[in-house]
Amino acid sequence: MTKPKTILFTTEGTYPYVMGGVSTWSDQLINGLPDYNFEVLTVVGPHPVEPKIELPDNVVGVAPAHFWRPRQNVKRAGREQTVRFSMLFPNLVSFAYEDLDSFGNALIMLSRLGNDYNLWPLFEGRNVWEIVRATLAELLGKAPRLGEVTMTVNWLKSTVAPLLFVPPETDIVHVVTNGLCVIPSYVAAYTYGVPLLLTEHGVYLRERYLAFKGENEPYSLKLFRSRFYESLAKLMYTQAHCVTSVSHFNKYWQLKLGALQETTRVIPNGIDPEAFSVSETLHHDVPTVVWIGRIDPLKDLETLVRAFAVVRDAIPNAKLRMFGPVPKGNEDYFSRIESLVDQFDLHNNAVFEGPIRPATKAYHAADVVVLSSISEGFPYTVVEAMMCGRPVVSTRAGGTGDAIGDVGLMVPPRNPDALGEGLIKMLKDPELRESLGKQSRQRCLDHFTLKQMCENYSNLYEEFSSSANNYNEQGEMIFS
Amino acid sequence: MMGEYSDPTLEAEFKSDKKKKVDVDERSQDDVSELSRLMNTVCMEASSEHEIVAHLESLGYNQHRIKKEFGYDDIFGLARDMFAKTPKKVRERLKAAENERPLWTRQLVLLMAIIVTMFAFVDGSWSMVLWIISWSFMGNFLIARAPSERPPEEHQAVVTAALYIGLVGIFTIFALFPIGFTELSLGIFWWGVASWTWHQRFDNYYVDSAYGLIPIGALLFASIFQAPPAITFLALIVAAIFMVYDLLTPPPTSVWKWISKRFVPMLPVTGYGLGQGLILMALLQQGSLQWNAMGIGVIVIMLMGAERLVLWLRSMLKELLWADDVRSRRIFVTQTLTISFKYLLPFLLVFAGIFTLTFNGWSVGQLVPLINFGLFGLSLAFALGLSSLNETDPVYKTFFAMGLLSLMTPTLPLIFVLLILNFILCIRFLIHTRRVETYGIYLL
Repeated sequence: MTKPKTILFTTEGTYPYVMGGVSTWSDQLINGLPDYNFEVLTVVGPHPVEPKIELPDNVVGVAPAHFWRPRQNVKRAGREQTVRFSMLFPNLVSFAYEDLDSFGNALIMLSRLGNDYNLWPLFEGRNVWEIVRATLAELLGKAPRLGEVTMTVNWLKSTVAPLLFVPPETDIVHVVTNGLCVIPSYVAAYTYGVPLLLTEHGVYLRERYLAFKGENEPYSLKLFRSRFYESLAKLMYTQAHCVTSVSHFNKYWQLKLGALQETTRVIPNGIDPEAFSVSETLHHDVPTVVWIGRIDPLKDLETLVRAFAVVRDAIPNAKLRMFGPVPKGNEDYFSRIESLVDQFDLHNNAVFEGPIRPATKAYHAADVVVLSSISEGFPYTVVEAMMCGRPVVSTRAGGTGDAIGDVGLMVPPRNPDALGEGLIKMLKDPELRESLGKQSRQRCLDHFTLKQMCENYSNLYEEFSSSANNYNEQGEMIFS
Repeated sequence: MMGEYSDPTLEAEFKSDKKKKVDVDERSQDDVSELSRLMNTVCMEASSEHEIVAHLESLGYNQHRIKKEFGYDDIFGLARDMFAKTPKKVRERLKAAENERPLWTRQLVLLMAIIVTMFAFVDGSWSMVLWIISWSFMGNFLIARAPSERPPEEHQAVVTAALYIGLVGIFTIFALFPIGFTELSLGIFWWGVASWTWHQRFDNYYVDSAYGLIPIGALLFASIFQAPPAITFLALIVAAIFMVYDLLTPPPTSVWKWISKRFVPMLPVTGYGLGQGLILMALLQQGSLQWNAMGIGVIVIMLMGAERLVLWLRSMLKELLWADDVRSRRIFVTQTLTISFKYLLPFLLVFAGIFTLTFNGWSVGQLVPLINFGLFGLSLAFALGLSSLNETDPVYKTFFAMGLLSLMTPTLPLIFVLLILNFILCIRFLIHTRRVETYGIYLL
């Protein structure tokens, strides 16, 4: 009997410590591939964490890699290590000049050093400070303030130093977020000469850019971090043996950032058809539109409410039922949406009903399911609604087009008139709803089942673990 | 192909009214410039065109829309043009100096408590004082570490755990050593005061300050009105309970496990407290009650402004970090010398004040016990300055070593111990304030 292959499965801030879309996906994938063993490495913040998801038997190891705190159980660096560090550090900051080769090499060499020694205090050396200062001066075109240098050095130390180590040996490295977890993953793949695979749900770099807006940090630090994340992403896109994403929208970004067409694939998310059955009641007495998701500005509920005001004018008894939690920090946004409901006098038509379980209850209550987002990866809401045989009206955002194809109605984002008219069209035409509902279910069965998703990844693992072209004649790893 | 995107055959019909959707500037004839202006802040501070693409998409612009409205085939191309067209104009985001204000009642409580404790223990057992000082440093260490090592919901539990450790120590010492109820009540009182310094409840300067009136009242009652010992004991215990009433829910096991792992790193901190306690003991045992009273007066005067001076030192160095004309380490180092001197000046003046007593006929030789108190106060000034700039280890080690050396006072004059202590700390202070790379981040 052959020994099962082991996958180093690396994520950031998700499985198995934090619940969310990527965690659910990871759990489904690992449970769906019992013939593989998984060594899970998750990059998390400085605080201790406990798994929130029950780990299946094929998870042979799980460990958090904490950033914003020094690595534990490593030796104090001596003079020799300090000298080596000083020699390697300038290459580390070469990401600022988009020198990916030097940057990648520095990550590998420093990780070997950091595997046994504590690099944290070495980042507090005067030479590091001066190199960062010089780098910022070059990026900005003028000497930075010392506060900016201090903050930048601290960010680099806290973010990178704890992740410079060599993970355990496995047969394949599968990175699930193109962010900080790339550092140990890239090092592991290079060190052991094994295939390096990347899956992205959202485009990490894109999300970083959006997150910058809410931060009140000096521009120099933002620029430095932006260069870092961009170089890290490009390093992965160019060096991974295979880059997969859940939608063509993401793939477009990946290609723009350096991924090669021939190594880039789309593997959509899948769901269990039995868990999302078709209800017998396809049409309801009260024309009902259902929205389901978390209350978040990216879901653009303002447009939805405005659109529904258009619907109400055409179909006075139409009802909008909105299901989903209000995450911490989004309370103000929720209040704004409630005020908008008041403003349009929609109390009798639009209702927030909070989270609902199982989600099928919500889908079954709908004549039409709506999505008004301005940004999406590959929305589960849409696929689940389609699997339940419900027609969908959605904004054309992110990967929604991949999910809906030609079996739903798509409108431009942030356009209440268009969304409203799309909903009216669907609500007034039961035959269209029924026909699109059936086609939607069929499209999901054809393309978006959990079984297919797991098979796709199993094939991917097989293809790369058995492929001889990962190595050159000397037995060294060949990156694409 | 599976999952491949294809244009939907069904489109909602709607009238596109560009002017209605985009609140455009009427001056412009150029669509891209209009859009750039609409996203002015994003474009002016964008780090790359990719950042502009991310924001364009979040505003609802996608390939289809930009093709329709701007004629571009590719949103990245549009973003590239926007990035190139917009001049970079970055808003200055400087970290403003925090408006830190020490609680005046906290300073008063600590000073009164120091005075009362010193007099209460001068002829009694020192075991309780040594424990309280060492434990308060241990507690400070744990509480300082908690934010970076424990989840936020456990921070209060760490304070509670520190209080449990303190209480167990107090009663262990009460059981093992020959100390009376006065020392026990003072021990418990200190324990309560520590909880207050670690856990300000109201997040309001005035209310938190007012809360400090409770221990002040208890101390006044105990010391000024000379109440019977049993009443004093009760007053101090009641005050302590007031300070800790909401902190005694047992901490979870995870907090205890964490503390057990922190035991070894905590040892130097404990040594620091022990060293201070031993030096204080040697100081109080060197002369008469009159000298002790004057000596304690010197320390109290020095410590009265210490918290403000430390905050001043930090804010001055922080200002230097953001100063427009300080953009190199060399200039920074030159300026820190002046700041360091200004920080130390008030302490040095108080110390120099001791020598004015020679005008009253005392010789310098006679003033040695008082000079020793002054030197101890100076060493605290160096220690506070260094600790506020995150240079703690050398302080801990030096105090511990000098504390042990002070046990040899019958053979080694205490003034030598204190001179060595000050010399080492002074050198450390001058070197460390130059090393902005090691402490800069703790100011921001």
